[in-house]
Amino acid sequence: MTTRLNALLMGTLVFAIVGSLACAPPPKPKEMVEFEALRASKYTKRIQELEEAKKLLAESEQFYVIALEAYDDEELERVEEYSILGMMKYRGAESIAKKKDAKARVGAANDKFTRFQKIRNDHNTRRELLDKAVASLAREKDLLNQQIDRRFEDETAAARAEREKALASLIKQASDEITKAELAQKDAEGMLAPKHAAGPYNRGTNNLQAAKKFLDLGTKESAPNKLETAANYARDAQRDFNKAKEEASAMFNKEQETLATGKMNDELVEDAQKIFPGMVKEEGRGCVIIVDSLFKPKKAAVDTNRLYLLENVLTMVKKYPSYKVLVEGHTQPRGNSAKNIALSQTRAQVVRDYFFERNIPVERLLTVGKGGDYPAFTDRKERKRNDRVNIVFLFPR
Amino acid sequence: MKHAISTLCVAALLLTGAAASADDLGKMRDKVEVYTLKLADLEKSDKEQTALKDIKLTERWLSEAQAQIAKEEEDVAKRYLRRVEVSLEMIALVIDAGKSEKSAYERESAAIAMEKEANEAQVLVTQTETKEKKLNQELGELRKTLTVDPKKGGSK
Repeated sequence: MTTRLNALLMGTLVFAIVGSLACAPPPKPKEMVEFEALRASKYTKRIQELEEAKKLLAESEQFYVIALEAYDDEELERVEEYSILGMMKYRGAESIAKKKDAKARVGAANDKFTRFQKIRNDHNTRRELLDKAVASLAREKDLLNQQIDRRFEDETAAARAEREKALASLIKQASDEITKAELAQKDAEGMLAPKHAAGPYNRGTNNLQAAKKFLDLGTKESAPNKLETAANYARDAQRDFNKAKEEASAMFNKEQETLATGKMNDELVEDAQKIFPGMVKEEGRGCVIIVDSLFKPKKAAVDTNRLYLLENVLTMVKKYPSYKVLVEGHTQPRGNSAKNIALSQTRAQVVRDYFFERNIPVERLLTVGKGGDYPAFTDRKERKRNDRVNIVFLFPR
Repeated sequence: MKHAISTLCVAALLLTGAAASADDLGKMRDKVEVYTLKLADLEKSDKEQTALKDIKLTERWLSEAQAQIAKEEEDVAKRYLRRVEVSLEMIALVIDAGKSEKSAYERESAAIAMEKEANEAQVLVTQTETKEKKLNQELGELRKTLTVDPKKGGSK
């Protein structure tokens, strides 16, 4: 029973499915689908607003209605045909709307173009004015810069002239100092400084050379500092040469004096030889004049016959005032030695007094008694000649 | 007699029908010619080729219509000719709209270009104003320099 019922139900179900499939509408042709998509587009509303497009839109609607009816009648060929026609009508209406919108866009674009054109023109006009102003300002700036440049050049020229003047002054100053140093060098050389004060003299020479070198460099390079250095070196050289001169002068003077004295000694000897021919000896201590036979034997008084000899000696003593005079008394080399010394001493003093009385300063006069131990005449016949004095003109030391 | 009359009537109807059909086909051929010319004109005017696809489709429909006319398939030919007629109307509107849109696009481009020019001009104005301001400042400084006594100081 149940089995039969089930079979009945299944049969009914199959019948219903087959029936429903047989009665279902056919699928819409693609043209209709496209058409409906177009109609559903947002542009449809815009088309509906336009009077010019209404006729075409209405025709499109009519075609759509026919297509729908055909679809209901399952006349698919007609559906396709009227869908195509409806779409074309719709697209015509759509084109009308697009044209209208495009015109509106043209208007808006023109407005925008005009507005911005005016803005651009205004800006260009403003810029042209600004360009002119800028050009004018730039010209003014150039002129001012030229003025400033000229002033700067003037200032530079003045500064250059001042610098050159200062440089010339420094060159002169250094040259003057070098000249002074050279003079000082000559002075020092006059004092035989290279010999007597070699240290400071050589330092001065080095400083003078350095001064000349820096003067040369400073002049070539126009370098004030080098010229100042040259002047300083020259001053140092002057100081060194002066010091050398000072140091050398004592030695030089002494040497000069020595030289002069030697000359005078020679002169003195020569004079003495003229006055007392054969009676003059030059010894290391001085010029010795033997005044023989001046005294009588064993007497201390001058033999008046021989007094002229003392006068001659006095002349020489007066002629050579810078010499000290040693009067040596002598006796014959016989008799008591002590007595001889005493006698010879007295004889020397007599001669000294003779000179003193004739205005010869006593400090120039020295005396000594030699006795008979230093005979000048050893020959027996000439023995008496030893009653004498030796006048020694002492050479300066 | 009755049969003869009937036969005559049928023949007359057939002849009338045939004559009418020949007339329609002739008219359709004329339409094809007219539409072909019209389509050619539209194609010529469509320099931007806005409706190129539609024109090609319409040409195909025209060809189909001619073929159907040749086969004397009047109904089918009529259907194609109606499509062509509607299509020609649509193509004219599409081309027209295309031209307007092109014009709009051109004008919009020109407006955008003008806007750009205006903006550039404004930039130039601003730059020139800045230059003017700077020059004025420099001139002020230069004038000040010139008024300073060189012996008391002041330099370029």
